[in-house]
Amino acid sequence: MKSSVDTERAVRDLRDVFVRSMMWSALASADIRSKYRLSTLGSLWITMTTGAMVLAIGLFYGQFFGQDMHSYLPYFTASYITWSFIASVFGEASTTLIGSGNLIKSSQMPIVFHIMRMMQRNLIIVLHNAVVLAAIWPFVRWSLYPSALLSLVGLVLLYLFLVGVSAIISIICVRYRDIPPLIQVLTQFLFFLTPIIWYPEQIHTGKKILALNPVSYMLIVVRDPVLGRPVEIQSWIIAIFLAAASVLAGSLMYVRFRRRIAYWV
Amino acid sequence: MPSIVVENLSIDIPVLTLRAQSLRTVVVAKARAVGGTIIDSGTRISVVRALDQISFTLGEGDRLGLIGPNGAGKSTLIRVLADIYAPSAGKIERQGTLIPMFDIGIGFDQEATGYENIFLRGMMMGLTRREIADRTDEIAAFSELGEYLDLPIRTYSAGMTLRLMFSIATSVAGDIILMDEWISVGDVSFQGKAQKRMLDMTGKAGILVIASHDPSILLQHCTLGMRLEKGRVVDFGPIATVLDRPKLAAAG
Repeated sequence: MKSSVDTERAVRDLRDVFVRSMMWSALASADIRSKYRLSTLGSLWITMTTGAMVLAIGLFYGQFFGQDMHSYLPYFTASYITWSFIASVFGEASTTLIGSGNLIKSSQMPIVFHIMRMMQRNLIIVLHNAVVLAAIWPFVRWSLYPSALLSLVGLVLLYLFLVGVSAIISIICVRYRDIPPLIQVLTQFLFFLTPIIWYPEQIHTGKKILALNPVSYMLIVVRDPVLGRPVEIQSWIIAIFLAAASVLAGSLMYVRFRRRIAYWV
Repeated sequence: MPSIVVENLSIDIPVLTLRAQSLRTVVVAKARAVGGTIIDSGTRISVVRALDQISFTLGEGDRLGLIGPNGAGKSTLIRVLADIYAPSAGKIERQGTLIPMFDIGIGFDQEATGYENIFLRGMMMGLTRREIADRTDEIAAFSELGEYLDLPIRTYSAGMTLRLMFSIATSVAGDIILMDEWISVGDVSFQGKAQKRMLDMTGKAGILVIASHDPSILLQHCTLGMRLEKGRVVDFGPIATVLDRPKLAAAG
């Protein structure tokens, strides 16, 4: 039996995301620190592994497909870094509430904080990975315009988009336990429908289907400005709309189902 | 003035079988059910009425002990009081800050040091950096762990870990303290201190609710008792009376 008390509590939780942001962000930092505690390089390993992977695949793919390395390597690096953020969030969202069952049933931590903690962890990782892009610039030297800063705006939009989607995914997955593997499959599928290893200009047939992929727009507004690639105003509008719609949908879902989560987990 | 008012509270817990948790099975079952005989696909959700129309009021100074066999609803009730489960029917109104103390070891990171864990637990309890800093010395002193606090807690013995957990958990103060099945802590020398600290903490609380199987803990900390059986209140009154009543019933 729903009541206004439940709605009030859920709305308060959402407000606390901003008011008590210290709680979930500090816990996220602690998670990262804990994971790399006993290693020599600490969290710098995140950057190293991405760097090694990007170098190997970028150089190899570039030669194999005969791409011009000067444009392909930074393109692939920026795409890969952004895509790992997205894929990691999709995957972790499907298990985050299930894994936090203990905390949900024994503590007062607002349930949305578990989602924000997961998002923050992944944000810390993507910022570590962004260093790789900066590290290859001296070697490739693509033109950097002031508009490159728009990538940060794109990142904010992507973050908001992912918060909303994570809320939806995590709540569905807590109720229906066969969804997490489905998310994995869908993510794999999306990898090929999103311009990560190929350029959007290369596609001729099937362009309309690709235009329906929301992740493409979110990826493009993060990746293209820093590379100096022009972004259509239309893509920005769609990205802003997707971010707003996602946050709204996620919030509504949270408010509607928050009280059930403790029973499902 | 802290208070808890519970009116006709019922909690229905859905029991999701493996099949009911599968979206595919649920969708297929619904599709099959249209216009035909009802086939039991195992996706119906059974519901357990964990609490059945419970009403009571607690005010400043009330210390309630929840008594009853396993599965009677003590843990469920205490989680409703802690605002973790929402009522399925009836209502509950609370005034005052809630301090739920259920899992003493929750949120501990084995690889982190004692001090870092004090910080982590503080964060999880919703304290600010300043509040945690203010309490750290006091927690460290009470636990008597000294230099060990700079080492990762995976190096601690079980007793030391318990000391740390206990010191952190009892460092908070609040209007309404809720405890579920707390164990007695540590070695003999620590037990005396621990008991005194518990009494201090529960004494300062406006309202205390403890669920426990141990009559001595209940007698030590509580003034009122509530006996639950199968989700219903079967007895409510002064703690000593409620604890003794089944014995009287058996004898008479």
